[in-house]
Amino acid sequence: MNTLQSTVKHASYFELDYIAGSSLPKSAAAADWFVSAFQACAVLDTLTGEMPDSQSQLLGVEDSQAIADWKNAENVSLIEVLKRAEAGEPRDRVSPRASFEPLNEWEGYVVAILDNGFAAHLLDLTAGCATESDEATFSIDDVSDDDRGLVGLGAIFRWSVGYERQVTGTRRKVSSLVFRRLPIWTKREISESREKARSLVQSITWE
Amino acid sequence: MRITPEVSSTQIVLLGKFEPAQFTADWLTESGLFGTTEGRAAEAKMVGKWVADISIDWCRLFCTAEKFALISQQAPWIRLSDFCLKLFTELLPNTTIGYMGINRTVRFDTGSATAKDQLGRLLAPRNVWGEWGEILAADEGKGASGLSTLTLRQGHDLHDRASGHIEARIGPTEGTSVVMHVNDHYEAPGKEELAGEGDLMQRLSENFEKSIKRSDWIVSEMMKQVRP
Repeated sequence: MNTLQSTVKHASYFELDYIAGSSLPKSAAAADWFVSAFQACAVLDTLTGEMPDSQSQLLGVEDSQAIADWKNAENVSLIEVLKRAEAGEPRDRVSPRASFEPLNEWEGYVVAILDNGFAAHLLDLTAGCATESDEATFSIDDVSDDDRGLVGLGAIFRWSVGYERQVTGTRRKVSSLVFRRLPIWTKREISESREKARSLVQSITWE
Repeated sequence: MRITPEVSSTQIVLLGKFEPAQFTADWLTESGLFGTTEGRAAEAKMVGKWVADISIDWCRLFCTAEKFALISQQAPWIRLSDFCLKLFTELLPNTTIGYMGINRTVRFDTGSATAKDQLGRLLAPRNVWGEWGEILAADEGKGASGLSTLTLRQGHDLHDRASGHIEARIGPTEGTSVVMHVNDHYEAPGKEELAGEGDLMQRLSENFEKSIKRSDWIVSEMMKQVRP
């Protein structure tokens, strides 16, 4: 499926009749609507149909440019602009966000608050451990400003070591601490936990 | 994984009935889903009441009237699950949802054009295509012909959901790289349910990390087929 076909296909998800018209309104609001709609199409492509980092990302980048061209064009339909964009050279296909690939990951919970940090028990998730096997202390400087308010006794966090890749392609090994923003326990979860505890107690045979 | 991915992303996708207009960076910050600094730096594109598209450093939230998606390229992936569970069990429990995808996309480098071609031929042998396959084989290594996309589905022996399937897709991308997409799909028992009371969020809570691990295993199995 080429860019134009894909565009029309996903545009139909929003309002095909509107886009298929030969003379489209060129108000700023309409143009902004299309910009977001096409960016949305790129995301939907990734999630639902096309191979994620070829056509769909290309679509996102090209169409933004196409929309900009369309905004400046006189008496040219959007379809025409998209055809022109398709005929041109592919632009940058690199996703504009940094990525972080974990090599090792631990789940930890805070067991003590220290002067400039905290102590935690760690569960090695990469090794598939079922119980905490390690202890470590962390500096508060390792925690992001946003997460510092979450640090407290019993707080749960993820500690990951892996490769961070910048938008430019630069790759480096980094360590990351992220405190979890967990939902409150639901009545069902509390009830199920009670049931599990009850079952566990009943399964213990005292000698 | 056998080969370290060049880049990967994880997505949670929900199909149902949503109100995009209610997702704003301010509301997400006040609700504790975004940190204060994250919320201030959020890039938000709202299109009337139809589309919400909000990005922060580690994730992108995208919502239309029928679809909600949370996407990240930065581990730990558990943040996506925590975000969705807090959002739909604590803050918006009356949201109607019917389908859920826990999806992984991984791009990795095969190391050479030859290795990439060999993988493509392994997955789609040319000889089974008869004379047309011979025509394609003549172009080997030049990149104009060959495997485009291959999808495999598992629809049985999935005891961790009421209904659904797993699909894995592979295809070539730029240079010597290939990209794989694993869609772990769950359906609500009645095809529609309230998020706070239904089955899907429970499945998300219980299955998310298992799903990621399984998807990465599927990708790893494919990586093993690469002959440098």
